[in-house]
Formats: sequence, C-alpha cells, structure tokens
Amino acid sequence: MFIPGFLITLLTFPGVIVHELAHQLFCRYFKIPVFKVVYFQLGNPAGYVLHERASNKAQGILVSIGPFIVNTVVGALIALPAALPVFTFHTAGPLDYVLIYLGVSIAMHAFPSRGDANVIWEAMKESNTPAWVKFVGYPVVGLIYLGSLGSFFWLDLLYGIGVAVGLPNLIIRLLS
Amino acid sequence: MEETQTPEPAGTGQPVVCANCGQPGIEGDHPTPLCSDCREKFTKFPIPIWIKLFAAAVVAVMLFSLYSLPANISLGIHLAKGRKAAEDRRYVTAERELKTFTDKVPGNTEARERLLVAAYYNEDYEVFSQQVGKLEHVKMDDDEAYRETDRVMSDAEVLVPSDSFKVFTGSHPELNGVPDTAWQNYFRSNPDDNNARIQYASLLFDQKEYSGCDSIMQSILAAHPGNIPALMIGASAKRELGQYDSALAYNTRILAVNRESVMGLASEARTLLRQKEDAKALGMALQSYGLDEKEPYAQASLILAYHFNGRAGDRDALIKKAMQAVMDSAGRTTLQYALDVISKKEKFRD
Repeated sequence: MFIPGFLITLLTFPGVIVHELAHQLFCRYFKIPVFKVVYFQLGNPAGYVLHERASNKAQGILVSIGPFIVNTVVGALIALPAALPVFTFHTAGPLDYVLIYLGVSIAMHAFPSRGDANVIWEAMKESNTPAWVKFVGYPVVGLIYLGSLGSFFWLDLLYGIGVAVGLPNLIIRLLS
Repeated sequence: MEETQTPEPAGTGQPVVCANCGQPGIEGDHPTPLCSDCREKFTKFPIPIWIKLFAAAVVAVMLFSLYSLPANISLGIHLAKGRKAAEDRRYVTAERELKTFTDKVPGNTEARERLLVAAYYNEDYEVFSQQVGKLEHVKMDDDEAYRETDRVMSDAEVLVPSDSFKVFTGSHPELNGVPDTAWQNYFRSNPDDNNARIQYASLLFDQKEYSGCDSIMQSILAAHPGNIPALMIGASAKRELGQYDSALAYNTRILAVNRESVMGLASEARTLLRQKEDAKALGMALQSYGLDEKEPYAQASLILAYHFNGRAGDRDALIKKAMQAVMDSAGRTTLQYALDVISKKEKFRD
C-alpha cells in the first residue's frame, strides 16, 4: 500500500517537532550557535536546524544523534504504560490509544536523517578528528544510512512500534 | 528533518568582523566569526512560545505516563507470572497471581479463563464458580486458554448433581442409610452419573469399604483421568488398603495435573509416613502447608509428619495454631483425626 510521505509526516508531526527540538537543545547544551530552526513544515525536509559546525567532533556527533536518544526515550516513556492495556490486557480506553499514537509517532522520528549523517561524515573526514571519534563516527554514519534506506521499508515505523510496544513486554519478561 | 551546518568562511585577508552585526572583536577561534554578544545570542537561539507549550504538553503527558507506569508494569508482571505458572501447572501460584490481576483488570477474558482453570485444579470451587458466572455471557476466542477452560468445564460435570440424582437424594435424605440395591438400581438407570459415583465412593470410604471405593474410582477415572477429587479418594483408599505403591501412583497423577496440589502433596506425605519414610514425608507435608496454611488437610498432615519425626514442639505449636483458626465441621474432623492418631485412639501405622 502506497502512502504519500507527506501524509505520514503530517500524521506524525509531534515526532518531527521533538526531533528538531532535540537538535536545538543539544546545540544549546554544547554552546553551539543556532541560526535557524524549522520545527515542522510540509516539505522535504519536514524540519531542520541550521547551526555552526561544532569545533569538538564528539559534540558534533552528539548533536546529530541527539534526536535518536531524545525521541526514543520520550516515545518509550509516553507509550510504555499504555502499551500494556492496549496490547496485553485488552482493556484499553481512548486515552491509551492517544498515548500509543503519541509514543509511536515520536519514537518513529528517532532515526537521524541523511542530512545528520552528512554532518558527521564531513567531520570524520577532517584531519584533526581524533581517531576514537572516527572509530565511533563511521559506524554511526553507516547505521544512519542503513536506517535511512530502511525507512523506505517502514523501518522507522517498525522502530517506533518496537520501542512503544516491544519494550514494555520485554521489561515484563525480564521482571516476571 | 535534519541539521545543517554553516560553511566555514574562506580567508580573504580582510580584518575579520562579526558575521551578524559587522562589529570587530571576534570571540575565540570558531568556524563562524561572531562577536561575543552575537555568539551569546545565537547559542541561546530562542525557542518559540508554541514550541515551549508543545514541549510542556509532552512533558505533562510523560509525567502522567510515568505516574501510571508502575501500576501497569506490576499488573503485567502478575499476568505474566500467572500465565507462566499455569503453563508449568503450578496452579496455586497461578491462582494467586491471576486473582490479583483480575481484581484490578476485570475485563481480561484470557486471565479469567486461566483463573477458572487454576481454581478448579486447586479445588477452590468458590473462585471457580465465580469465574464460571463471570464468563457465562462473554465471547471467548478459540485459543489455548479457551480449550483448557473447555476441558475443565467438561471435567467439572463430576461436581454437579444431575436432576435424577437430586430426585434420588430427595427420596433418600440420609445417604448413609441407602441400601446397596438402591444404589445399584440407580446406576443401572444412570450409568454415566459420575457425580453420584463420587458420592457413593465417599460413603464407601467412610464405611471403610476401600476395595469397593477404589473400583468405583477406576470407573470415574476412565472417563475423567485427571479428576483430582477422584484421584484423591483413590489414593486414600489404596493407602488404607496398604497398597502404598498404588497410592503413590495416584499421588503422582494428581501432581502431574497440578504440581502445587495442596491435597496431593499432603496425601503423598501421609502415604510416605505409612511407609515410615518420615523425613521425606515431612518435606512433602511442609511443601503442602507452605502452599496453603489454612487448609485443614495440610495442617493435619504436617502435624502427623512432625509427630512421626519426633518434633513434638513444632507439632504442638501447629496444633495450637490450627485449633485457633476458624474451621468448619469438616475441617475440625480432619484435624481431630490427626489428634486421635497422636493420642493413639486411631491406628495410623504399625
């Protein structure tokens, strides 16, 4: 079934906003100047943050992968308590479905974009980049590209569902 | 959806000024030439009020989720433990966990089906009947829990007196005094009435007609091989007949149906005591009592096990505790049997 990308983006706009806000907050934390932020638009890209290149390469990587951390944690925390009534107890109310929608839409936008990968890639190529940063950075770039390719096959949605639904069941399996 | 970095400025040989305000006095060695004020301004790039409100709403939802998370996780753990225990045929654990879960989540059909099964195998007929009532008009999926419920409901026909048997008991209010010929006539007319058979076998057991009792049990077990009340009476009859290996075989069958059968474990402890395997019997009796401290049969069995293991202090403490507990007449009779064995009024073993 073909669903236009802009429709998915529109339906899951909370995730796009959280993604861009995460970039911005990581920049603010590392005192990296930000020149423009588009939190959401009906276009490609659906949002972006224009900021100065980080002098510290590790900080640059963290700014790029910040949304992966923030969207995953926020999406999981929102969906966690609702996933059990919806998928395990079968006694869910409307609020549980709202929480699942929010959690999945935020978690599915956790993947960094190819633009994020390009930023890390450029930083890795520079001669003054420490070896350990390259050691971490190149696999991260590879994973982002894989994720980006996978989004064509709904990998981002699967990731969102995995975080929102799989995680609570995993926690219960570990604790019971 | 991405982040974009500004390119580094190319060297022009001109004095470097702030890229934003054009003032001289660039701060630090950064890719973008900015004065300290502009750098400060851009590092604190404003977050619009609607984004702040959006973020606040997300945080509020997160806090609400975090508030309700522990309760739901705890319920999920009860359900998972209940399911696992039921799969392992540890039905005392299963009943405890599923009861806690269904008290809080009454609409979960699968948990209720599993609770019905666990209560049945634990011979907790009060909880069993409650679940039957609550599932009466509920649409159930044709899954493993439903199939197990169906098996149990079919087995439970042994518990329910038929209309014919109600007429029979109506015309014979004192079953103790019913002549044997009347029973035989009844069974000729109602050959499949296993509830009547159980009642008849219990009477024979009380009259110490253990062989007859056992043969009736065999006929019930042919139709209901896992029926715990029938297996229990069978084990007791074999023990009284001195056929301890056969008694233990019945106990093994009980524990194969329910690994945590309080009655099955206690019954096995009594058979082992008859065989003078006192230490092993004590272990079994403790296990049974540990699963249900309020069950008079488990209490009485542990009292006997303490007695034959020479632990008079523990025995007397348990007798005192059991006597103080509220007990029905059947419970008192069960306990009295142990007291009679101790006072040698009743012969338990040579």
